Amino acid sequence: MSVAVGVDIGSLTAKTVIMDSDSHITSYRVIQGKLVDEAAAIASLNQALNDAHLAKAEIGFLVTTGYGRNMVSFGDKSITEISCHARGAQFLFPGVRTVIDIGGQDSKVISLNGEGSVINFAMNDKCAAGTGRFLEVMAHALEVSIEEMGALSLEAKNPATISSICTVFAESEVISLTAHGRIKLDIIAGIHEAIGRRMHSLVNHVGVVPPIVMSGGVAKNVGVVRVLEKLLGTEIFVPPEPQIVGALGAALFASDELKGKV
Amino acid sequence: MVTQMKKANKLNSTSLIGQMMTASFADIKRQAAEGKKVVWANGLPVYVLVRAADMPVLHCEGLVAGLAAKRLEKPFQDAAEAFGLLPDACSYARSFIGAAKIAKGDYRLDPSMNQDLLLMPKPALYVNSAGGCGTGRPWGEAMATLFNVPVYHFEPRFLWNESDLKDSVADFVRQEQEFISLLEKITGKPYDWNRLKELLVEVKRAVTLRNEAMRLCQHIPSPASFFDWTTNIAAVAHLIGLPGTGDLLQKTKEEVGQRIAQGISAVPNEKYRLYWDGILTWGKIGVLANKFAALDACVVAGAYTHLVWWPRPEMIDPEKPLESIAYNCCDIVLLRSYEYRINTLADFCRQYSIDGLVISETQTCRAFNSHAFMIMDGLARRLGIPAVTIGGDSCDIRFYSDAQVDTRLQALLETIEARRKVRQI
Amino acid sequence: MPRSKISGITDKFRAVVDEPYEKLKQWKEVNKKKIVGCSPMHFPEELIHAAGMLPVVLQETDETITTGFSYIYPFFCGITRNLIDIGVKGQLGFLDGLIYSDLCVQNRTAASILRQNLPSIYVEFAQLPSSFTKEGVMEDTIKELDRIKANLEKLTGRKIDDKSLKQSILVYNKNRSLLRRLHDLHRADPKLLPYRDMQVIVQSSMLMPKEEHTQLLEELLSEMEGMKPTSVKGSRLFLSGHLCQSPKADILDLIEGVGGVIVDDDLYTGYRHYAVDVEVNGSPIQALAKRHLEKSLPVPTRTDLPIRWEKYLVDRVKASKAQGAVILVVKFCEPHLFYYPFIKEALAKACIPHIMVETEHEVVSLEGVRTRLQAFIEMLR
Repeated sequence: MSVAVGVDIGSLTAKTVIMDSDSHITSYRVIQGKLVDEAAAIASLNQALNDAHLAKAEIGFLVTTGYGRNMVSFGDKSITEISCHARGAQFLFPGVRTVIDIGGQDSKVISLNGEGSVINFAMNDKCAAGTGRFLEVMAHALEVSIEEMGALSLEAKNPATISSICTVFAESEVISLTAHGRIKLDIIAGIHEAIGRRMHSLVNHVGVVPPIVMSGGVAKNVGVVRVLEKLLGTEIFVPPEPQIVGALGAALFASDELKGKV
Repeated sequence: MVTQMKKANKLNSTSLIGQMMTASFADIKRQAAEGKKVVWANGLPVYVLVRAADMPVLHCEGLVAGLAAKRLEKPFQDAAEAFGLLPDACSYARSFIGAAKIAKGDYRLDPSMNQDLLLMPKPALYVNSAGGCGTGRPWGEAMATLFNVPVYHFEPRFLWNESDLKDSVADFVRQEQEFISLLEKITGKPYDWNRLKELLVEVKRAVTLRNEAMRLCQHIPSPASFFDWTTNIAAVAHLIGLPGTGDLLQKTKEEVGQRIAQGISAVPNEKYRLYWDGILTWGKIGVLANKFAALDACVVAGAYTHLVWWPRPEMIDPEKPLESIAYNCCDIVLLRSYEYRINTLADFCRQYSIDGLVISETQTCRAFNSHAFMIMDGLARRLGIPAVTIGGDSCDIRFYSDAQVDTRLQALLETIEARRKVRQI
Repeated sequence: MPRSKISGITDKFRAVVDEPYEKLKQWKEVNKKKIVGCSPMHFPEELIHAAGMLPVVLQETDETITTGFSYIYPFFCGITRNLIDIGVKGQLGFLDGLIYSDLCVQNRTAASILRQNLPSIYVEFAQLPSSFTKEGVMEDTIKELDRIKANLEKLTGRKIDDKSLKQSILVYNKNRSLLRRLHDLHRADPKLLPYRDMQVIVQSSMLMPKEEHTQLLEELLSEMEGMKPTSVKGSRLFLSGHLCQSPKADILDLIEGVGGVIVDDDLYTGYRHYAVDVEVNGSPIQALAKRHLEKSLPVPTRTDLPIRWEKYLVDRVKASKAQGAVILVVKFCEPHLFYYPFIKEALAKACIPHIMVETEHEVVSLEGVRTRLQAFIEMLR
């Protein structure tokens, strides 16, 4: 048995997806790590292999992706997360035209044509605004767990306005709002709207074409998804495991290599 | 926690400006519907030449700043970003280009949005008269390309030496003449020089009144603030030459005079007198006015209000209309290098009894703040006056951070206090 | 082997470009000639050359900005901040004169700040018309050139006659023609030189006596002529933008490192600089004015252009048979920012994929740029 493997080495997490020769996902793992962590990457690979009762020798082809794709010592080929997220989203939702990925410290929007090929993309990799990091900083400032943030944002009746694009500035706005007596729910909703506006701006660079799929850790935040749906005026599809979309795409590219499609 | 906040004592006459602005935009749309050719323009008020040719003028700063003050500017900026303009670019220019995309129908407005102010009639001519910032050049070219119309670029000269002013005025007059030939071609009519002279009589009245009223703020305590003068800046910018501006400014000057007579000040308890360099974040004008008032600080003068729009009213001679306009477009602070800027600022500080300088960063404008640090340093050396920079922009509110402004402002006032104590010893 | 001879000559060009102002200071001590710096893009160096002085087109260096932070905001472009920084740190003290020509507000700011902080240097502002077509632009251009000429004569103590100006024009035309030859050779065989070396060769022409540069170029070209072209594997790319300053070698290496092959460009420290010669007949001042007004490539810092930049760019990209375009935008370069949406649209209409890369003085987020460039190449395949 020769399996195709994709490993996505991101800023906060490492993900592995293993696929068999029939393009079924055999197993997958998400491991929290330190900044671009080879150890976490290897751990995710080993655990995924374990889950599938596979030995390392059965890896037919391994593609790395993500921020750390060129920084690990293993892998047969590296492909960018843009191509991999597009491929992964396309596999899960055939016919997808726009992929919005919000990760730990960057975000991207990818545009696909009718044949599933990437035709355009935009990335925000210069600052943390609107990313997982932004949410973490805000959750910490408000003493709320990151898992609760999304659901709480939906309960607000009167969202506060946070206008800054900079995480640091936005944090000081949050502190100021708290000092002026704004209730937590409203501030949380304001934070989500700020992320929505940031992403909307990025999406505009590329153009919105439905159907839209969201990937990356922040896609698990129902508040962000709702805000974006409202701003973009269309439903957004979120896979059950949005964090593995990149690794899935990488595994599919690995699978191409095994099938001699390259 | 803040208890009772002192609020800015705004001029009453200033409140009329909002209606006049709204009416002016409605009037442009009405005239366009009647078949009149519309002109879009940015920058210095040389477009008063267009008004004499009986064509309606849509002034960028008037439209965009007016909308930004009401927090309605976002669709313009969204349209611009969708087109591909990055937020680093001048927000006035970006917003006006966004307005162009909306006017053309390239960017669809949400039906819930205010079409009256956001959907403007397309122009037959574009005029760029940006004063001193090269941005006007690609901006004007972009507008001409988007609308497929002619563009005229007014280029007042950069005054490397003060002695260059006379030649600059002569050169600007030549440009006005070329422009008038273009207007004649577009309207198909000979230019109405009498109308221009009539307009300039009105203009002279209006800008003289305004400058006199602003000068009254040398009085301690100041009867009005920079926030009043920015709120009604449209009277000498977008609305200049239109009926009613002279009367508005007459009322304003009278009100200011009355306040002095009655001992009423713009800031209820004026303890600090400040000068403002740079443009201000239009969307925060009310917030800023109150913020300063709460801290007993009156911003008594600023570069944007005092050194850009009609700074030479005494040079207006309706019999010499082109020279009159030329002096007022060529002799502005933005066309100067360091020496003039620091000398002028030092003069203002003496005349207006300034305690401190606030430099509003205006992050997308590199014309105003080009010499910010040297100015701060120069002023401290020459007059011992402290300065502080605050973040912000003209119409892109994303660059503004309230908490940061509070901290820096308090630091400035504390510095002023500390220096006062030293001088007492 | 011929290629190692080429790299030997290229090293000589590189020596001029590394720490350029230190080298110029040393050059001055040895040669005892006056040096006049000028800002990039529009000023005709020939005028300075005819005065018997060494013209230098100021280049952005790699120096980290330190003192400069107290003089200029970070939201100004790289070369503006860099020149102000090194200027106030004293590294431009070797100059006898500095001529800034009208380009944009950042340029004017740099001129003003440097004049203020370099009191012993003659700092001049050349207001050459920005319009191509307005009434009187030819007369205005000639008048301004004559004015600068008179000031340069005062600086050097000798007259600049038509004969010496014509001579200088010939020297510059010769150098430009050789650079065009190099450009053609590189077009035909992009693997001839890594693109960073192409940059070094063009930049060095702005930092050393033209005659010496010409000599080295002739050596280089004689090595290259008749070489068998290497096979080109990779995605053919057109490099556009980056006015005034040369793109950092890191970015260029990145582009080539992910499989891009740069086949043509319209950069300032590239094709723009040597595309057009000055006429040799008639009045030389008029010829220089003509070059400014009639022959200039479309440039976003000017107005009333005979052809829009995006139209010109699409034609150039098609002619180069590139698969895609890399639009290098200097962060905060407003003239470029206002053209980018049109460039984006025109390229899309012509079905030419492109990627826009913003560059800064400080080389940051290289990994992010690498990812985007790699994704772009993947997209082209």
